[in-house]
Amino acid sequence: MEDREIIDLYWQRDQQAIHETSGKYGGFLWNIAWNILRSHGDAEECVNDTYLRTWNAIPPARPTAFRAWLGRITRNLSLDRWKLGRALRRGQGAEVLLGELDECIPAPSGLDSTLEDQEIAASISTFLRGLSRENRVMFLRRYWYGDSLASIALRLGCGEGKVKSALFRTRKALRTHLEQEGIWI
Amino acid sequence: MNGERLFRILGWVDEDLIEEADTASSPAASRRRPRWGRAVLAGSACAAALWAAVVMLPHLSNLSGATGNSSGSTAAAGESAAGADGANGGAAAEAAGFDSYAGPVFSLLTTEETPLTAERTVTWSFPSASSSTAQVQDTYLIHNDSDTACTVTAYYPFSASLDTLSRFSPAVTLDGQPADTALAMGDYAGTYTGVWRDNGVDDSTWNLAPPREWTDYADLLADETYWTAALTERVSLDIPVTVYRFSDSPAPEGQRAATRAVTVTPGADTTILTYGFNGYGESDGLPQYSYFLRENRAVSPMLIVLGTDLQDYALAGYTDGGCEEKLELGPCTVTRTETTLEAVLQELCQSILDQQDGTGRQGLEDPDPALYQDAAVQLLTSQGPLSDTPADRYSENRLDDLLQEVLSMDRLFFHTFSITVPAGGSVEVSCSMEKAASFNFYESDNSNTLGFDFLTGPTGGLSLTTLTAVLEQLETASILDQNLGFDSGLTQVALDPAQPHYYLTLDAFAS
Repeated sequence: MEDREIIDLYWQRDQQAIHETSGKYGGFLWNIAWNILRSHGDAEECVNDTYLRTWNAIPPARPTAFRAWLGRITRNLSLDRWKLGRALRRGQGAEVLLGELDECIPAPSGLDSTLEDQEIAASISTFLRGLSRENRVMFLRRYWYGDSLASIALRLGCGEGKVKSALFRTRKALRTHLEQEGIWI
Repeated sequence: MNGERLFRILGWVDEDLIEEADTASSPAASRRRPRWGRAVLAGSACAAALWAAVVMLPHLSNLSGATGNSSGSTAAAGESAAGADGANGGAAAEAAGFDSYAGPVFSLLTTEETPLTAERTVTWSFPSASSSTAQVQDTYLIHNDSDTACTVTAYYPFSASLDTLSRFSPAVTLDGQPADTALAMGDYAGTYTGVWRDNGVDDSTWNLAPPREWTDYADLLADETYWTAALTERVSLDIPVTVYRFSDSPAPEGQRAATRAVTVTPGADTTILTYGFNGYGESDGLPQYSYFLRENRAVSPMLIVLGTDLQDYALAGYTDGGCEEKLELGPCTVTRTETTLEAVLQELCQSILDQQDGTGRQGLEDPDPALYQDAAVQLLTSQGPLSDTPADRYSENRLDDLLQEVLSMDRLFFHTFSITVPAGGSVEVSCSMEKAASFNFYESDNSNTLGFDFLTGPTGGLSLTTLTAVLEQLETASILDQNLGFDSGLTQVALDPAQPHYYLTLDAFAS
């Protein structure tokens, strides 16, 4: 079923909408939650919560990119759950991802401005568009989808070492970009 | 935590970038899986069309009503449906599912339209409960009421694995004389699943999911690709490969886990299969394979390189399989040869059978080496490393695992033979076999039950006019559940040939 048709079902308050969402995107959402939580049970609950949130959000929302829209909800729910500390396994999941992202945080200066999240995201989008496609995909697979280095290497047909070094360079470049933009997170 | 905030902010980056990252894969990644399997099934379209037209289309109408409500292994109990005349009323009752499903007894079929009709009798005998098997005689009295003699190719499917083939392969006779049969072999009959099989969200393929109920096998017979592969002569896998064999000096005294590691530099389109290696990892971004020196091997560890040859390799010794603490080892001789994958598989299959010394698993006769090799090629090209859609289970490219697994996988075999029925005459075809029971695992609910079942189709161009089930010997078990009608002392019942499935569940330990 097309995304537009699924969204129409939500607008009609037809519970088949959840069934269709689950059938089409259940595995995709579960993978995102799993990458962050590393717990089958918690990932399952986050995906189910995603369906509930979606049911409550549509209407009035009518997302244009339904897949990414759903994924964003799952990311946030998974991060919230991770913070509760129920599912963390040492050395995996969100702990590693967030630790890597700490490297991107610019040092504060007197010219810093505190922007809303979506404004910062727009600036990061501009930054990402300036990267090579390969580096951009690596960065988003790692920090949006939470993929492992091995998984990214397999997807892109290269070695893990290349992914690791490319991500390192991109994090450094992002930090420089945010500092130049005067953004303080 | 700033990293956390940045993680959330990244959730808002432009959606087209998110989509791009979701769909992206590099040409290099696409190149990593050469499409070796394509040639294997080439030229089989005619057989496919014939099967679809004659065998499956008439049968699908029967199955459609039956398979639709069977996915959950429904367990409506005891609806045996023999009426006063013994004729089964076509009850839709189904047996409870089993932890280990042995597969049904199938029906004789032809792929050609024929004027032939058949009276089928399935005789069940249970001489010993302890053996967990039944003796089955599946007999067809085939009539030709036309004015001309009719010669057709018949197929008799049965389920088994390569290592149980010698035990469960039916003996086929024509009018009491052994038939001249050929054996065709289908691919693995099951599917693959993730760890969480039942919740539907783990789409990985790390585990085997063997057939669980009769509809799984019925679906296989309806699957064009399955029987096309089974009935098509396999094309030789003459893919050029470069083989590196490693022969070491004995491990140093006291180093029980001494390990040899081989770090390789592959080419752009290199695929590496291994045999005899124990470990796989990475060293400085390059693939590293390792093996223990103290392991007894009939064949030296080997790397089988497809595509571009290795650009380089380096040897190192370690104290154990972790490959962290270096160890000085004796010399290692590396032999490089150029051959074909077919030749390598032939060598390895024969070596594995030789090690079994004529008594395979379960103490049975070994399978034919050529058949074993065919099965290995099937798995390699359908779900293994040479497939377009490889299962995760074989993602480490270890031929050791694949060649062992191929022996025990459930699959369908077909005995094929020719039948000539004279004008106005009859021929009796009889298929006699030992049939394994379906069972539940020890300490599970109903672990005392044994299940047996049979299908009434597809029969293809053969028209079934009568169907009779006979219970010949049931001395050590009692019937718990059935849809056959063996009630009130009846040992012979007439059944409805249009009902797709019949079953019998026994209490194996009843006295």
